[in-house]
Amino acid sequence: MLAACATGPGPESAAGSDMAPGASATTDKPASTGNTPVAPYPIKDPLTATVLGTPAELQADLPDDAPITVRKLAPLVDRDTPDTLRYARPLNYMFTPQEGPAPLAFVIAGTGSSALSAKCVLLSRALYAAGYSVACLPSPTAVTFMLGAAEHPVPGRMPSDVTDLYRLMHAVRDDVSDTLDITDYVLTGWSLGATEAAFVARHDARAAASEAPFNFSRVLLLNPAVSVWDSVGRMDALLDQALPGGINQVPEFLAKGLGGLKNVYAKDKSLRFNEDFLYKAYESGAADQDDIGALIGLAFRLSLANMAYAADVLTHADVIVPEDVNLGPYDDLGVYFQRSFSMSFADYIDQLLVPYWNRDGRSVPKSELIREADLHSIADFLAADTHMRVFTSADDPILDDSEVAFLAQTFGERARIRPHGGHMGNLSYQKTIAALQEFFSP
Amino acid sequence: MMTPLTTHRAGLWLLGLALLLSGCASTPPPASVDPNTPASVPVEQTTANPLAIDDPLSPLNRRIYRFNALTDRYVLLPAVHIYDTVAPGPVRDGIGNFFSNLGEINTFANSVLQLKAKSAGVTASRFVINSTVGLAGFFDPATHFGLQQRDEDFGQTLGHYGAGTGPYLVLPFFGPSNVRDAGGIAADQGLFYLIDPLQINGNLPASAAYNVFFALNKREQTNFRYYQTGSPFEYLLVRMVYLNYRALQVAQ
Repeated sequence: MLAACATGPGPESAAGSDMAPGASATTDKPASTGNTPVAPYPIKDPLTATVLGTPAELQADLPDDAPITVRKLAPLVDRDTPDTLRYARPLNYMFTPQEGPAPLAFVIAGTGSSALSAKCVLLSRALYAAGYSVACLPSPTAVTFMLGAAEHPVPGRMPSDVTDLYRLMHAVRDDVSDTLDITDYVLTGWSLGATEAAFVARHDARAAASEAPFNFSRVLLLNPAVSVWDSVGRMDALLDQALPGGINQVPEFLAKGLGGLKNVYAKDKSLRFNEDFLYKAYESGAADQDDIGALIGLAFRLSLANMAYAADVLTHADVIVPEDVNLGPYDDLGVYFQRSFSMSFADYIDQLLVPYWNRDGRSVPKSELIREADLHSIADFLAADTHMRVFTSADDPILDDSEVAFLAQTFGERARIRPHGGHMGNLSYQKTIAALQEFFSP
Repeated sequence: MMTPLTTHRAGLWLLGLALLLSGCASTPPPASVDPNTPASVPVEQTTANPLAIDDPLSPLNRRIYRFNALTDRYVLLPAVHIYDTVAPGPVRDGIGNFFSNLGEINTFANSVLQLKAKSAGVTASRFVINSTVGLAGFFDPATHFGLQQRDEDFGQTLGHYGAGTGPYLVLPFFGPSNVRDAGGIAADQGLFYLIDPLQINGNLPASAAYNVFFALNKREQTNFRYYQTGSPFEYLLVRMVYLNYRALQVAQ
């Protein structure tokens, strides 16, 4: 769910501690690199892992020759674009074609992520190297998706979001079918996108022939949320705990952060402001545990603020922007940013999602919205679908122990649950990518 | 239509900015810079609202921001794509080093102005080594000798001596800035013109070639895409990150 976190080239390492005891449901296959043993994933703290990702020397070495492009689609829904959301056009997806006949892999991005996110690049490279053409799709929670592809632009109702995704996947297939010789279809996604991938796979398995199903031969869920609204509730709690003063404490938090970083600067005059910076700041003790938690909570809040603002404007919900205010492309959004950013996920459900699904003749109770966005509701399908696997970490902060156990039990041998890695922190780790490529090896 | 998605060198601060803006937490948190805060107040104690930034020119700034985004999309990025296709990686690296080496002149001058002896010494050594052993700056052996590049400009020099930032500005082509830093850019460019290290003043084709490659190299090394954050609040976020980043640089 964390948008584009933790794929950046990581820190110089804190490597080398011993392999932690396994919560793993399957034993790790050796990385495809062969002889040299790969050090275990080094970051034992889940929140830190989530923020810092994988140290550079433990990242998978993927060739950067993948012909990654960005393609535009015509809008899939008939909707006027509000001036204030003009920036989010057109509807894009990331496309990496193979020459010659090849299977096509769909990738569904996580919360708030567009198809241009760093994880799309990482997964496109990994799957391209495994012989796939790749289409990485924006999350239904991305503003560009809400504007161009969502029939109901208030993301969060799973069946509706899945229908939109399914339509988008058909549009992508139509868009590339002239230039590609597609031999087969596979599907993956990360975070919320993984949860959605499971529901899309189920939708596809039940689709009538007239719907032109994809018949995915393999589906991989990367760090899925099990109960989506429980997971985002945990992110609300993380922010509450790390910043007890709530959103009003953010300025102070930011100032403290800068103070800490200034001390790092003072110690090392030649340090440049780049992707190693945070790691050095962390090593030097400038960032403590609560700071890391606050950063994750704030990253989620930013994604939520974007989504809530767009949902409000697109549906004239009158929660963030007053109904009689028509914002132009150059208007100051300061006050609306503060209002959007103050919203918790709980606020989003109560003030935007539930009201939207209970107006204009719609009537969906809150309990139903929550139940629909839960993998428990399709446990039988997940248990029976032998083409589907799940990769996650036992310490993923969006899951609790019972949810990890649910995944281990439901997927059995098909679950790869590592003891450490946080939420997607170990995605670019050599062994994770090797396991992914092995699963998808044609 | 297909748009190229080129790969960029790592190690640029804008990468950090882009990461933060893409909703990512792997970037240092920016702090607030209230333009009315006296420079004597330590940054740690400025707890003003990070969004309460002096931006009276916001309507104009926002238009220039959009102009820059469109220029980027329709002119700069397509040009960079051609550049990436035509020039092999090592050549582009060499060109990057070349401009980076010329940039040492301004870094040196501003290190001297701020009385930073070590920074001036390191920068001068880098310039001499890279201009000679590094074959006119196309290679960067100095970094391998342990001489890490410094980063000073006239905007930082002004900040060092207590000049406030003035209102936030978005400059055409240059992007986020403020009154102080815009003046700094002009001064740095003026100094470069006066010294004329490449002896290209008055030589129109040579100046044009210099500027074209300067722009191509700069854009290629800058890992930022307009609207890639996907946020309706991108203008506010860029403004916040830019001003805080500059405050951090000045404090260094």
